[in-house]
Amino acid sequence: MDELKKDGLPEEEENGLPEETVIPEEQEEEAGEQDTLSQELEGIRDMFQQELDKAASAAEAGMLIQELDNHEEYTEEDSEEEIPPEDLCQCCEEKIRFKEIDEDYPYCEDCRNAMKKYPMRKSGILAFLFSVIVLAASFYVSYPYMSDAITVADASANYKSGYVMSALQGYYSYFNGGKTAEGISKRAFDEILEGYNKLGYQTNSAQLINTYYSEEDLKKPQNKKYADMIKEATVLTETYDAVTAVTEDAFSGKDFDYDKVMAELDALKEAKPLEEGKSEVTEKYNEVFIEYYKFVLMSIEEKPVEEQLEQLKYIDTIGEGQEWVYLSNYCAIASRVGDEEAVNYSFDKILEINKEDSTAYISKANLYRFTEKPDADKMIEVCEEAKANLGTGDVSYKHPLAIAYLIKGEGTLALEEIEGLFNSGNYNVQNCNLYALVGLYNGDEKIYEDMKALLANYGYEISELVTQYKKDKITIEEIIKDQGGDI
Amino acid sequence: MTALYILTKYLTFPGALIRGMWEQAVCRICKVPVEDNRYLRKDEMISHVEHEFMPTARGAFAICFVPAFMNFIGAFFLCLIPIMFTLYARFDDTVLTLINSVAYWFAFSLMVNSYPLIEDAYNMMEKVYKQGNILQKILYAPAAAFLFIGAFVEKYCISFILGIALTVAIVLI
Repeated sequence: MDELKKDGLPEEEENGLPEETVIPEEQEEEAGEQDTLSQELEGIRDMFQQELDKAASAAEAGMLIQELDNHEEYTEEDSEEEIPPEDLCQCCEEKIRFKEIDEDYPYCEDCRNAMKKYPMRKSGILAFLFSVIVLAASFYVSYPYMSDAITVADASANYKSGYVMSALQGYYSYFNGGKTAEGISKRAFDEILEGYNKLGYQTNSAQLINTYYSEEDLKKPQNKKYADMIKEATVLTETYDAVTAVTEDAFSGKDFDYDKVMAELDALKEAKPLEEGKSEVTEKYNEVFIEYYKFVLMSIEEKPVEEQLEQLKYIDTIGEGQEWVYLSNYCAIASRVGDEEAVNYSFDKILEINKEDSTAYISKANLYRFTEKPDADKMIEVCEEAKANLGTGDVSYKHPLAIAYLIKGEGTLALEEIEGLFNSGNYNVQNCNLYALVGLYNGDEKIYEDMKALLANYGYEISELVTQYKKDKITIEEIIKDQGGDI
Repeated sequence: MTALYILTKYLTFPGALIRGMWEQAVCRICKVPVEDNRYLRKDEMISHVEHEFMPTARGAFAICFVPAFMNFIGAFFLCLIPIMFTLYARFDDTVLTLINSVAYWFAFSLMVNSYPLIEDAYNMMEKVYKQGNILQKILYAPAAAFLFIGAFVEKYCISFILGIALTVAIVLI
């Protein structure tokens, strides 16, 4: 068996053949068939045993290496005592710092990973939730007043932007809602009064104050400004009464002595109504108002426009805060005179008080009409500016715009504008005359007849200028340049 | 200056807490470790969380932008009604006035605590303009400039002063 191991194995390794191929012939003769078979089986068994031993020894070596590896890992993990203190994680103080981030990084990898999921603090979440609750509460308690607040905020914004008329409309709707004295917005109240006074509605101011303040309330020092407003309204009303008493004949179309009436108006400036028992409030009549009526008399008396402008310029020197009395006329007369500086001055001042005052735009447009050579393009430019700033409610700029198109010879566009003015409900005498004139310019006599009939219904006659134009006795240019006031 | 800074933060603590919360939320989303999340503390980190610098341009921008944006949005909604009612000028209803005053204070605190920490602002500028792509550089530019200036504004308590000035202006309008 041993021989077989010794002799047979090299041959097998050499040839790579099975063991039975190397059995000598002499042995075959000596042994029986059974012995031969058992020998072969033993050979195979030994060969397997050898291979098994080899594999076992190889496997044993591998396990040892693995054990060695495991042993090394274990040692590294558990060797706290071996990590220098300066390399310990600042957080857990157990593991080595994660120096891949940075040489001085203070935390281990595990702590770093945990920090990525640092729990949120309740304080922040609570603060957030509380802010949502506050927002909801604010909305809840404010909701019943929201509509009023929006109206007032909107009106206030308009007022601050100089759109006084829109602001007054907003405030008017607010105060019309049956508010009590305690429930009104102080801002709205103050601004509507200021707006009324700016535009000359002092009587409305007085009425509104009397709605919310009793006489006793108005005696309190904190309400002095309201008491003063009522006094101002009373002075204006009494001045108006005094002035109209003097000018009654002039305004009713009767003959009057111009110089005498002017002197009487001047005398009113020195009058003392309170002492004379004509008033319980007015110590002195309003001088601006009296001077304005002097201008009106000059206008009725058809004094030269230059003289009228001088009077208005004088009023302007004493009329601070009462521009509503005279400024529109100042601008209009300055445009007739062709005083560009005065027009620009009054134009800016009017819009400073109220951006929605269309008279400023109309007067400025007329400045370019009453010149040697009317400038239609500049008139259109001013009217476009008016269109942009006045909003959709006020279309009175269409009157000078229609005239500008007439100057340019664009009858159809002029007709469009004047029709637009008419369709928006502006049926005054001047608009009727202009409509008739534009109608004739476009060859439409029906418009002329309609306007004539409309004016007759209200006791007016159509302008002589329009009739003369119909009869070809005057040209459009002459009407526009010299007779502007009539159309 | 630090004492004044901390004082203003304590006076506006709701905004400081909420700012810190948003900042931490961004850190969590971006998976950036937070070392200390005390929103109210007695040093210059008040209203901010201590975190590692954001490694990307997007993250660096987000840590500055998101809290500021959220606080501004919150401030906007919270101050709308109080401002409207200040304009409305009806102060006879105590509950209405009180709640709207609290709402305005919340709005004020959110607005004052909107801006990023100056280190984060520097990191944002560095990451966006050194590592960011051209699109990021263009898109983030307006907000980045605003936030960068805002970081200085907040550092020197100017945001608080501006907030007071704005409040006075609203009342006086």
